[in-house]
Amino acid sequence: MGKCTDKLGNRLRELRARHGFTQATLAEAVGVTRKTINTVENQIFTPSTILALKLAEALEVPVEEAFYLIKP
Amino acid sequence: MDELDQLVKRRAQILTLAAAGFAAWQASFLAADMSETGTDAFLAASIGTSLGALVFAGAMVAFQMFGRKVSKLKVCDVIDDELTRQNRYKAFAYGWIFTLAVVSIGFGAETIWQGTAFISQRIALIVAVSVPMVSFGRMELKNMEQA
Repeated sequence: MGKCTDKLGNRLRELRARHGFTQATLAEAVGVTRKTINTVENQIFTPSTILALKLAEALEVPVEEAFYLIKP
Repeated sequence: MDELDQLVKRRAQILTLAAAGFAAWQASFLAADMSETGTDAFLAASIGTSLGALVFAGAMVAFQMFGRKVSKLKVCDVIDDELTRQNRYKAFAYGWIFTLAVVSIGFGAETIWQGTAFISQRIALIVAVSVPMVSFGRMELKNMEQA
């Protein structure tokens, strides 16, 4: 059976590299652990709206530039 | 690996150790209940009970020290971020499912073999306490490995 729900894609890795952030420094900037940043980047964990907004703010981009929907 | 990573790893290790200690303590206690006093099996089970209880107590002390360290470093919110909370909810859900399975099997077993309820009750206790701790620890360590 195929997947029925939309997935949240992101450009965190690319944006993070552009800003010279490591996973650890970005995690520190938004107040989470590094494993959270990593699992978001790898689309294992879907962040809350609050965390998504914090990440976009830290990366100085609109949230829709950092995150996008992947249709099933 | 930075200090936060080490704290996350330490918490997972302590919980896994606590779960192992608790399971050993209670399983040995059950074995002691089922064996005749004075036999080698009873002696082995009694030693297992004591060792398991010691490991569990040690893990609880380590967890207290861990909590103090986290408070001192003022990283309570960071170390308890939303992925951690999600892992915790999942761990409790796994514990609930496994406990329900053990209780269901226990009911079935009791209808066939009378007087086995205390065994399934003890196993349900072990599962209810150990499964959430082990699964939380595993999820946290897995998230770290993926990093």
